[in-house]
Amino acid sequence: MLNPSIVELLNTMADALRDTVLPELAPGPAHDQLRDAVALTRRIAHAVPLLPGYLHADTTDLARTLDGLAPPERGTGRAAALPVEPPPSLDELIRANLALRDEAAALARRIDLGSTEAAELRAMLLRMVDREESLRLSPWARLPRR
Amino acid sequence: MSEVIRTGLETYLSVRLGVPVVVTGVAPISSVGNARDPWAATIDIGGARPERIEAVLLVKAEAGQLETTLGPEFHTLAALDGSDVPAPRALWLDEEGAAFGRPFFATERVAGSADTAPLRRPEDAERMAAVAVQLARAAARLHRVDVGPFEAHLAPTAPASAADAQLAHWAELFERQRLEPHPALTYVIAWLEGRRPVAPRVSVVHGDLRFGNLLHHGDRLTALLDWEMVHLGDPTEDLGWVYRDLWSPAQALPFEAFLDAYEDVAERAVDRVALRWWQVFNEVKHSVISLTATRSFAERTTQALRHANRSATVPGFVRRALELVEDAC
Repeated sequence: MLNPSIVELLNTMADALRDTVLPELAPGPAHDQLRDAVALTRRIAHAVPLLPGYLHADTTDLARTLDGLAPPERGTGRAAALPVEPPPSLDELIRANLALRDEAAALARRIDLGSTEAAELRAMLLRMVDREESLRLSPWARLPRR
Repeated sequence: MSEVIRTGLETYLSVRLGVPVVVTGVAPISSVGNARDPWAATIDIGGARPERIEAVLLVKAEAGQLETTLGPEFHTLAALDGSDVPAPRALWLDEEGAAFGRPFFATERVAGSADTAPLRRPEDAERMAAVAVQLARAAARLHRVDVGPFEAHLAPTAPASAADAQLAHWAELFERQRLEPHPALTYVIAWLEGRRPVAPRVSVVHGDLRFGNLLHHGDRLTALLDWEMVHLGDPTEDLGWVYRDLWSPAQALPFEAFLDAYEDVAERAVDRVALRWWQVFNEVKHSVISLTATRSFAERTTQALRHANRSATVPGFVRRALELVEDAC
């Protein structure tokens, strides 16, 4: 089943819960839990279609920047080693991304913070923040109107 | 739950005080806090000198974004009693949960509202500015309090090690609570480690001093609330927290005017370089609080859905920290 899409399913489910169940609940913990569940469902609906692109861009940026800042001693670079064919699953992308984040964290611990390399690393970290914020998963982020 | 609290508290206080006690009006108080669940209660104490106390019960919440015990908070309020720092009077502490199964402490209820939304209306800017100035003065008075009586329940520190102690605490918590690598936070912590400031003095640091954690009545600040992160340390830490974007009153009172009001009462200038360090530190601190909330949900020690995606707030805090670091480079 491709239609309704996962995004449509999540959003219509959130609408239904908001319109038919939430008004029936008295103020209190159950009401708050459902309100938060509806809000979280909408955020997930927003993020789901963005996730593959986000992970691909983030992982590629991490690999290329780390290749420049801490070139591998031998073999191909990190960017060249990323899975391409067949298209990687989300799980594969997440594994590759987390491994590179680990490397970036290790680099952050040992880099000379006054160096130009540190400025380059900082710039990449800001790009990562930009990308992560575009998913709007934060409970305080504003979602675009549907 | 309210009936469990009412009967448990009645028995507990009757035994503890040795006189008949009647508890009525037990009801939850709406709150956005996470570490304590507040309840209102009216307590009638009998005996030779009958007394009615309108109280607030601060009940330890289930696991969430903060893991703190009640003792330091209660004893701090008790030690501040009679000082010129506006804080609720501490009444009783039950750390074992003997009264109704959950640890709690009670304070006297103070007049005023914790809701700052009305103050944020453009037409109330003057009222908000007045409360913000009082907050600055209250902070300065708190930071001038002699820390001697507090060292029995708050870890002592020294001007040279205050920043180190806080950074070590939150960096350790970061390593324990994170569910994945956060290279940006690691970078910011490394930056902080190389630049720790020396405190101008050791003070009682509120730890969560801000709009939202105070009571106001009209244009008067009536009490500072939510002392669960209180500790001894560098007073500049509170100043690096109070104007964070999430709760800043800058729309009514610019930060520099707030600092002027603070410096007047503190009788010392605030070191702006140290202030920036604490601003960066506080972005890390709030990040770790968010990571703790998400881990609690992931591990099912809390099922409060508001904690489920709290770690998604971290990029916003990290962005601010990186911007402050960039400015300092």
